[in-house]
Amino acid sequence: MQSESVQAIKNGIYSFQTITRYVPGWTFCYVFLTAISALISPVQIYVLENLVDSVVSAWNVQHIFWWGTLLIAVILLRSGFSFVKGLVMTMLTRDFRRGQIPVTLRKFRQIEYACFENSSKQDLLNKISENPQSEILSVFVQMLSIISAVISTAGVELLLFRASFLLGIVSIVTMLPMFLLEGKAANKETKLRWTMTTDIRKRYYLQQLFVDKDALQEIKLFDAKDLLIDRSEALTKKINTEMKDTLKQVIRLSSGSSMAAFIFTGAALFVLSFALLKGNITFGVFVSLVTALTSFYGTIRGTVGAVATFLRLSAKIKYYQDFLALPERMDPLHGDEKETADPATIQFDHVSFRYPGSEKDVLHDVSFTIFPEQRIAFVGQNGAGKTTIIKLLLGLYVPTRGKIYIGGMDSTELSDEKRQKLFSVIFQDYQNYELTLRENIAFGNIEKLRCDDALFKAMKDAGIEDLPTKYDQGFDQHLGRIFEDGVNLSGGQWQRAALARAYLADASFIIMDEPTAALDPIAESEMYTQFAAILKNRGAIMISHRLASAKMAEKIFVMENGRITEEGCHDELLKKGGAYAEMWEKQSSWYTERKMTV
Amino acid sequence: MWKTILLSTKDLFSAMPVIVSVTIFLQMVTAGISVAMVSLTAKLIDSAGNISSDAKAVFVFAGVILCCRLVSLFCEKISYRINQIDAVPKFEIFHHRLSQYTVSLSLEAAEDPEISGMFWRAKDAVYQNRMGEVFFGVFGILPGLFQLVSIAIVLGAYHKVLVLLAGISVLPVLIVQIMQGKKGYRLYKSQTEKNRLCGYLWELLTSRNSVKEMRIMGFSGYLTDKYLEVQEEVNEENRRFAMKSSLQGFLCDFIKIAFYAVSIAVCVMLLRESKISVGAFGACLGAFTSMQGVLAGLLSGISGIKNTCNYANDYYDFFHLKKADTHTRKVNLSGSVLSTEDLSFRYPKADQNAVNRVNLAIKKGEIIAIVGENGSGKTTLSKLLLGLYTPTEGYVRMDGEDIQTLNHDYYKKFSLVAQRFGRYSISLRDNIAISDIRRREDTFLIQSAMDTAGIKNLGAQIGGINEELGIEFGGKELSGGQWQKVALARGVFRKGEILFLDEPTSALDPITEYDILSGFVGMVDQKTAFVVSHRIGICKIVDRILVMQNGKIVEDGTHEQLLRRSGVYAKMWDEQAKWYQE
Repeated sequence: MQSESVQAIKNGIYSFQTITRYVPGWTFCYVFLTAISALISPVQIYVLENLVDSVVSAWNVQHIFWWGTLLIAVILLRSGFSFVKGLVMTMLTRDFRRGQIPVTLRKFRQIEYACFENSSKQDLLNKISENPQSEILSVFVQMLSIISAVISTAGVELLLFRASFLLGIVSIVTMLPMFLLEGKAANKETKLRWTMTTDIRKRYYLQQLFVDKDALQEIKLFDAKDLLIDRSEALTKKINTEMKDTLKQVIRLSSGSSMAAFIFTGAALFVLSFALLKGNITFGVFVSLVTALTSFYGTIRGTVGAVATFLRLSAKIKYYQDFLALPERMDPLHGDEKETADPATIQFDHVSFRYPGSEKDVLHDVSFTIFPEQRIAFVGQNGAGKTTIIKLLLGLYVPTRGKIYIGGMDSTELSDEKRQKLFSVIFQDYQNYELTLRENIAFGNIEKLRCDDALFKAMKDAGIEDLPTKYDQGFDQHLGRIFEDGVNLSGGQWQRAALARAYLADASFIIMDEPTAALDPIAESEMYTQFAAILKNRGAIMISHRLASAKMAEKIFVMENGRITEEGCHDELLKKGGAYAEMWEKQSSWYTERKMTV
Repeated sequence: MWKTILLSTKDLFSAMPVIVSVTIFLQMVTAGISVAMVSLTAKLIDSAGNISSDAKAVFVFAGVILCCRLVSLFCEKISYRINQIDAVPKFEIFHHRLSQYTVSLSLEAAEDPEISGMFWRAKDAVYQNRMGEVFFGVFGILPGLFQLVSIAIVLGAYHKVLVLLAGISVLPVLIVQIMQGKKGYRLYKSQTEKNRLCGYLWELLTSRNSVKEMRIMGFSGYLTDKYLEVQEEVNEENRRFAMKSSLQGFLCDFIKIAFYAVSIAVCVMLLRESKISVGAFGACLGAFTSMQGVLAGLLSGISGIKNTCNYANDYYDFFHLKKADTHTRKVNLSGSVLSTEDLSFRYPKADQNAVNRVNLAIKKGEIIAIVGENGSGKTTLSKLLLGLYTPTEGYVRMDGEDIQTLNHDYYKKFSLVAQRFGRYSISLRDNIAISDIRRREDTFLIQSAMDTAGIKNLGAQIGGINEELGIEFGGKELSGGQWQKVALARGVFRKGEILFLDEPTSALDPITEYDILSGFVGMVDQKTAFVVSHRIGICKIVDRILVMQNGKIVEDGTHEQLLRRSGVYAKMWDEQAKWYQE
């Protein structure tokens, strides 16, 4: 509890610092307004007291008028302050978001790629909500409302002590258990919500499967809805039971604090009545304090509530700090890069690799050289390490041992721009962008976003040049389900769009991981035929289970269990009679024998 | 609006009659107490004015006030407990109904972006507990009215003008509330698409697959700008709305306070004319503010109902969508003939048929390959035969019965390995047993399905078949090939008599593909099977090949027959086979 409070305060200061850094002007205004408006409550009580007294004791019309006007002015001021405070907060939020969201997004761009494939880091990334800045803001607001409540309570305390010393003491004595109990309750609730987040996310996942069309066809056909509904309802039950247990304790604790508040109210009523009876206080004091009791009680409860919310939210700041502390990829210096004579020679020099957190190497001592404009194929069984080689080559990971040289330069020193000029890629799990057709293609080379000719050419090479003419919106047709006027493409069309994306970049090498998996035989064959023309003076590195594509390669690397076991051209490898020959034998048997024997 | 109120009321009463009644009762009690408090405080102050003559009265009133407060404290705690603990599980009925209904929607409906937008709004209505809000909003009027009338009586006892003043002073609140509610909902609805886009862009900017491509191709800057731009647009709209609303709120406050000032003046006059006592002066002002508060609360509550109804309507509207599974006719099917009659299908908003006048008859035990170019209608035809899509025209019949008129049992005839199969972030066991959940405990059968799909050792590799898959919740992530084999095992595990395999080996290496495809005939045993594949080699081992082009079946026959015809099939065969011939 102790250290948590310290941590919470630290987080509060952190949020304050962060906000001040981005919007110092608005922050100052907001803090100022908060402090001033906190004084209104005690002032209002004081003014009311004087108004009543001037009415009761001496019928002084002038006094009545002035105190009455002052009271109205104070009330107006209260509402005016909250209005202005609201406006300032709106502007503060806007400007803070404008400054801070780009920073968050920049961080996402810089995080080491490995974090995205590591499940615990991925969990953290999932927890960074869409607007982490709103948590920072909320913590800031809560912190200020605590401060404002403290100021306002202090002012009221002053009036209480002035009325009766005993009353002041009673109020402080009853306030302490309230804070302790409510604080404890808030802490319990915070912890609960903390542990529940994963379950809640899981439940959300299960529920959204019902509108995931890939899942839905199976759910319907397999009549599996009960499994998912039961699972999600079991989670709900678990969540509710945990909530129930905790909330029961919370209610017990907060009942205790309500009792304390009740005792204070009772004591105050009797103390004030006695004081009035004895003539220690004026009627004005009596009236103003009795009417203020309810709101004073409200202020204290509000403070406690703000403390609870503050504790809960400030824990989330931790996520954000953890997020900012995630390792970033090395950012090679731009500009002073060495120009190499032959920029596009790729050399793997005794490269071994294991995924972070794993205990097994997925690549063992892999060495090979790829020359510019060469057409290379990697073949091998699922899980042999082909895709890992691509990830290393693209700089998503850094070798555990050994080095990769590109144009004689250590590939870790390669800048992003340089790498983009060297490689374009179509991954096995390529992304379908539910944006416009134009964007889908142009993402291969965003500089050509407006070059319809270039886009058209890439689409032609990929065999989807007819797409823009099919839609009224042409290149600007929305694809997918995000937009209500979006159209969906077939699997083959999406794959060709991904291909077009890769073609659009004028890179020295096109890297293709299973580029034809969703293409029909004719399209696949056409692609192979046109390949040389499309590649022109580019090289290609292809991973494919369709060995026809390997046949065209100048060099084939056969991988088994993280090692390159054979290399050579198609004919050489067939002659060798090894793993490649066996694969080829099996695949081509579908096409060579008249009738297969099963 | 009335319909929504009626529906919400009905739903809440049937879901939690006791809770609802107790809550309403507690609301009445609390309202009563708060009225009593106003009048008691007045009495207390009044008697305190004459404390020198009647000290006892002061302490009696103080005591009664404390008792009232204790009772209301008690009510508050019980309400809290009921709302936070007892009512929460009862509200699950809304989730439950939504899920059940969504599954019963036709697949083509679920694929429609508009309908998925409706689903999310409906879900939102449940998460925000809009139905409960409507109900308690409506039933909150009753205690509110009671409170209002009683305070008006208390205040009217001092002077009738005060009641009128308090009444008029909060009218602007009502007007502003109604206007803002309408505008707010319109804004919310108009932003659905933009919000969806923002969410999607954020996902692209932060999730693995897209981050990978973005970094290599270098378009993260573009997407970031786009995100910021759309987000800014939404934020600015919201900000302008919020600022306007708060200005209007401030004006309402101003009017309220102005009237309060007038009421002070009136009270001073009354005091001067000795119509009220000194104590009553303070009490009167207190009653005036209470009346303002209660009336404003009541009015905004009433105008809020309309607004809340709009949101709750999102939930009830969803249930007006055309359902697919409304038919309950139960027929004992032997599954001996699956046929189609002039079967056509057009996707919503498409301008041509994806499947066009297909006539087919499939006998039990036939193994059929469906081949054709991308977009020729193979997968659509499969989904029609499976009964997942509703034909635009024509029929799919099993044993001569129109399947659209049959109940769910029709699905039991089938198993499926989908082209775009689900990758569920649940356990490996459930990922496979999801195709037949009644047998999910049958580990032996699950293992044998895995053996058939070529993932004999996957269980051992990941630490047991009860391990969770999918990195989303920290489970084991599989490669593309492994996922495909899991989907294959899923299809095999289900004991359907008719098996559909849509591109079952697209991510598999040649050896595994060979093993699976050559084991295919044995795997399907006596079943009817359809396989959609671009690996045209498999056509040699099937009984019958259907060649599709532009939604039509253009060729139909065995491998030899079709090769002899030298048509579309022969061309496709040659195109693919030439790469494998020396």
